[in-house]
Amino acid sequence: MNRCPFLDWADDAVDGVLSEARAAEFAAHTKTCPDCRQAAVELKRLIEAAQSLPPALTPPHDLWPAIADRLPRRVAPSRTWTRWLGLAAAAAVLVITTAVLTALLVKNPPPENQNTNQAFNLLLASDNDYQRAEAELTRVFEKCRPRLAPETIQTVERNLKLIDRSLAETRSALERDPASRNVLETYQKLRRKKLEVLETTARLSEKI
Amino acid sequence: MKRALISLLLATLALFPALAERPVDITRPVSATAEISFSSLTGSVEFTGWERPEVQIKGTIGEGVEDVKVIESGGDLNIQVKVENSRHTRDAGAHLKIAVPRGAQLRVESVASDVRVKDVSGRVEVEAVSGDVTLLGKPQEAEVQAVSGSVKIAAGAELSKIRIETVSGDIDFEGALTKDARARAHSVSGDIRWAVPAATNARFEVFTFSGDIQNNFGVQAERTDNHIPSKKLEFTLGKDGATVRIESFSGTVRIEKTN
Repeated sequence: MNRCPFLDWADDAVDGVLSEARAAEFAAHTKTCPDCRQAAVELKRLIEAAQSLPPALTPPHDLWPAIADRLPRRVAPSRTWTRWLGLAAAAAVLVITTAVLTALLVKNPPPENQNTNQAFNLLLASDNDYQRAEAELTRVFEKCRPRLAPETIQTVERNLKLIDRSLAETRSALERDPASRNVLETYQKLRRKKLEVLETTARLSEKI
Repeated sequence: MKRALISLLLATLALFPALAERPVDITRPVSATAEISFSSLTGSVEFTGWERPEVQIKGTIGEGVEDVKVIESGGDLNIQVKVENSRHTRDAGAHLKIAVPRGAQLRVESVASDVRVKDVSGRVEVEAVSGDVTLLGKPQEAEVQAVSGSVKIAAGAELSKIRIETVSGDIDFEGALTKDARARAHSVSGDIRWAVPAATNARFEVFTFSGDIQNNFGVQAERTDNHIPSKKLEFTLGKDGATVRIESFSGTVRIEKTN
């Protein structure tokens, strides 16, 4: 099973620079991959929401519950690999969604007289979803431990702690200055990176 | 006499790993632009581009390796180093040298193997957890995701797309970009060195949360925030063309000119 291309192309999609060839390849992929098809639909909704944003940012809060609802349903207990695919897809959706939302916040800053905490509030609204995806992927990572060398496990854990420390530092900075968009973007990327490390380690160890 | 016996015993013990290793020698025909995917747990792998329309796999596998499986599908090749018992065992490593057509598209997945690619002109994608990744030669596109391993790319031709991400591993890129190239590099604590020719046409956007930014092209980074030591550097070399975005959390970013 190839790695879901959506994960790799999320940044390009967010930036609107997904090449025609890749877009065509992805369109073909969605015909056989229901997870990516659904994710594409959600991404399209987000992009449309972004395009229709008024100058004063209107965060698409209502999209989060729909995404969160999908997380547990994707877990198929009978087959490990299916379960992993579901988790990877769920994480992918979360990654893309957070990336799109961050892009929205960066590209559509609220006017000076608006509540500058708006961006940070949107981030808080996504906390539960992120934590659920993180908990699921952590559980999968724990299951793959027997397949990994002790030094590899130590390496992964050391890097996860590094990300956690960086997240805590960034979060603290955001609480002091919720309007800092560079910091907000950094925070989202760190969260995405943590999910990727968990997902990649679990997927590769299962595959081999 | 006693010393001689001990020496003999040690010499005998030293032979065991070699005895446990098994040789690999596999050759398969492929097209000049075939997609070659590879996955392994630990050890090392070196891909080298050559002119022949075939893939040749040579090297050794440890006793914990079940087999090197080569699966052909639609003209593409999937090479898997399969580990026995689905559990970590000692000597589960594979040390392989793989010759591939120069124009092949490579996709490499590794948990703890060092990966080295040279003389391949197609797209190269590598995912690694703890191994180091080195790309030399003339890949058109390069995408590398690593966790703790370092990533080094020294390209002898213009790249149209580069994406490199690490957590603690350092990133070292040296090469030229096509006029509309898109390049991204991101690390958490790893240092990033990005070296391009002085004649490059590109827009650079560099950000670090708490690291440092050094730029050999003149324009210096500025603080972006009063509460944190974040810095940002934005400048254009030549005229607008390629876009280069580099971000680190705490690592140092250095933008340099190549000779």
